[in-house]
Amino acid sequence: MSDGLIKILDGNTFVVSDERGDIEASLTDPTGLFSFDTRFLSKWVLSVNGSRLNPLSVDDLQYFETRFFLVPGTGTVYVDSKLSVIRQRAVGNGFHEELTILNHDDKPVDLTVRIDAGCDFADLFEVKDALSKKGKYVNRVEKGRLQLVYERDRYVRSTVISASAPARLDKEGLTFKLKIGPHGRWTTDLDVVTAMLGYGERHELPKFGRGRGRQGMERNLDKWLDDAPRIECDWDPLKATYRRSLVDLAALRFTPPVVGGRSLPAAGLPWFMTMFGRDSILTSLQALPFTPELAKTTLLALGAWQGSRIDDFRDEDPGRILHEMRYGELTAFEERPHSPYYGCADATPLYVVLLDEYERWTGDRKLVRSLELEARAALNWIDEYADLQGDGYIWYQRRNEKTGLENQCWKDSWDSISYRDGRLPGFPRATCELQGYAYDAKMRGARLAREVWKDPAFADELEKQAAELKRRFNRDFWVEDDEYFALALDTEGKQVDALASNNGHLLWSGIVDKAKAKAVVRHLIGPRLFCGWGVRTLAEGEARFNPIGYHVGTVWPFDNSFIAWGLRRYGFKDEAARIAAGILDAAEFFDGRLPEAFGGYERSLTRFPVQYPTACSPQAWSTGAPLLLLRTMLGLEPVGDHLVVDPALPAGIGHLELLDVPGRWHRVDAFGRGRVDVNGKRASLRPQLGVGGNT
Amino acid sequence: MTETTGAFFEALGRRGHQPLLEKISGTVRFEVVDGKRVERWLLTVDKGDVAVSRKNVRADCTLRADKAVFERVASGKMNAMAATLRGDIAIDGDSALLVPFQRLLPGPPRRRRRLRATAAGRRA
Repeated sequence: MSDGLIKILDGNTFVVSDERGDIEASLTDPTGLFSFDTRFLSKWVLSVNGSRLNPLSVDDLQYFETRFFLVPGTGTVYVDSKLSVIRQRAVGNGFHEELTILNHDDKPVDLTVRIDAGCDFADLFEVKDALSKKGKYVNRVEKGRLQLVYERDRYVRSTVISASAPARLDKEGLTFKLKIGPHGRWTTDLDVVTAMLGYGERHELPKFGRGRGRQGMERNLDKWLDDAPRIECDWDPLKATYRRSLVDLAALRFTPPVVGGRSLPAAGLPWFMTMFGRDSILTSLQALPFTPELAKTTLLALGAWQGSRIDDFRDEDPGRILHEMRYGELTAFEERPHSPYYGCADATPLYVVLLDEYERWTGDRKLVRSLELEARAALNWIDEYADLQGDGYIWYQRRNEKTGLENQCWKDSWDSISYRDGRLPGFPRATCELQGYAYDAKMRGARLAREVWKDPAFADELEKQAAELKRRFNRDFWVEDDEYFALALDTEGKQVDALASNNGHLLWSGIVDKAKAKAVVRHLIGPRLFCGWGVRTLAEGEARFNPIGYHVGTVWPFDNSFIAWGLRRYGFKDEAARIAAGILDAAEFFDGRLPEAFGGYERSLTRFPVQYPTACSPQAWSTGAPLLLLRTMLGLEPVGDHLVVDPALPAGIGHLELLDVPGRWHRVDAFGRGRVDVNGKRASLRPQLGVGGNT
Repeated sequence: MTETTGAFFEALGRRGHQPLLEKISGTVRFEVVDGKRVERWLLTVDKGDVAVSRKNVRADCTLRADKAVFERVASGKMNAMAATLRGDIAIDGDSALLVPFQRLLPGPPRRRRRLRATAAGRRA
């Protein structure tokens, strides 16, 4: 990998090591074994006869398993090359490592193999923000196992290390004294098992979980890939990107303890391996035509945790969908509010959007009926709790002023919401896309009320509210002189008038008056927003524009996938194809794994997409972007019990087939042929797809 | 009998059907530790129908904590999820039942009025 770090993961457990398989973490760097937002191993260093090993190669076997080939010494000492060392590691509830040493010599060899082990039990938030610990460490050797323990009051986290071969254990690691015969081998299994112990629980010594185990995980991945639609395409990189997306999505599956072992997408490695309202919902929407069960789990889990009371510390309200759940020490001691934290203004309307879209694809009315109360509570939240200014819009302002989130929309960095001249508005803020989501939630809620909950009066009321919201929105947010929607309203009702990608989400929501759509589209694919790879988060020319500013100029693949969906919704097929072409082109440069964000430089300037420095990867909604783009390119749309296919593919893609698309129609195949010329008048930068220049 | 905890469980038993718990069926046993004494409550949820008893039987999930912790959780002063992560509440069995249970708990006492304009001026 580009950063020289090797990552394997399964749900919210992951291991990040160097290319030797060693872990030597400092407080501030995210290497180690992590589970439930806690580092369970910060030191894991292998040496043979006192010297460290050198990496020859690393095989990424699966997302949960990797193999390191090593040799002792510096590589210049010939005598050492008579040995090979292989570490094969799989993640589970902790990890399992098979350590093998091969003697290539015709003489026997005596070796001292040492593994130094240790742990700081840092909370991921501490790693991110470099905070220090308040509890105490106790290491002990007991019943042939090394136990690393961290205790703070009744909070106990422990890591238990054991080996199958005879070893001498001390409080800082394991030592093996061994002899390997001529051309012989020696091997040991090493188990590193994590445990979270509660009040009165015995310090049992758990075993490495065989529940799923390596073979179970392999079978699970095979089934996951088998169940998803198959792709046939003239353009090979798209096939590779599709497969990469499916595998990464499998890796990011997370099983929260509420939904009977089913999985939903966690947000991303390394910082966000947990349940997020917004990320889990948007990723589930992107993946609906491919893996609809993710949406089901997301709806159930977020519904189970739906806010039920007013709690200022957690920014919780009745009906509100959570923002983020965490399990680490800072959350446990309420130094952070993530148990769970609710400060998010979009997940609640998006919850209703996902519920409706899920029903349209799957026909699973049973689930929609069983979540009626949750959906009604979410719709009620929009009017009852989110309208902080009493003017019929969703506003956000944190009540937890110490550790709550200031910006509760997806562009959550401090400078993301600005006026053209760069000034930042005060709080509360009403960003435009929130109003679009509220409109869509009301319209979709009305459909569910009429068709599934059999409450036509409620449906009428929701539609009336939606129509009224749309009318006001198109008046209050429309920037007359330049013909686009303002990024937000400030507390005085004035427009926060920067031009931003949020306009694309407005198309997706359907809140845009038809007569205004053309002008909005002109901006989205115009030179200020469209850079050739995709739509920038903020338009060039705005005071805060910066092509490598997190939410003020970079291109976010997930953002673009929803913009493309919005363009399709208003009938702008060719423009949607152009965005798909740019983003999928970029995916090829990242070996099929789109990062969270990349630089918003003009494509003709850099000729390749420039990765944003600290972007999270893989990240769920970037992983979902190619899936949603496949949907928009093929024009897949459920209509009644049928799947309508209305393709508009970029010319370079050639023939595209998506076979066995699951849904209420059972399984259907979708076909398309590239015809949309995305090159404009400029020369192609790549042979397969166009530059998507500014025409 | 512990005051807040007892009152909380008795009130819970009187609430009868809880629509929010309609997807839930299961039993949760509460062990309230008061020095050497252990007070037991059994919460039974059957598709949203809630019943509370003092039966001393096995349950799908057992929550065990000191009396002082339960008092604070039952009055909304302590968050049950954070207390569980902290080890102040021990869970044994099906930990998923903690999620619906915590929704029955009151919110924390309010220190100040929430930010919210009155209904006047809406629908401008």
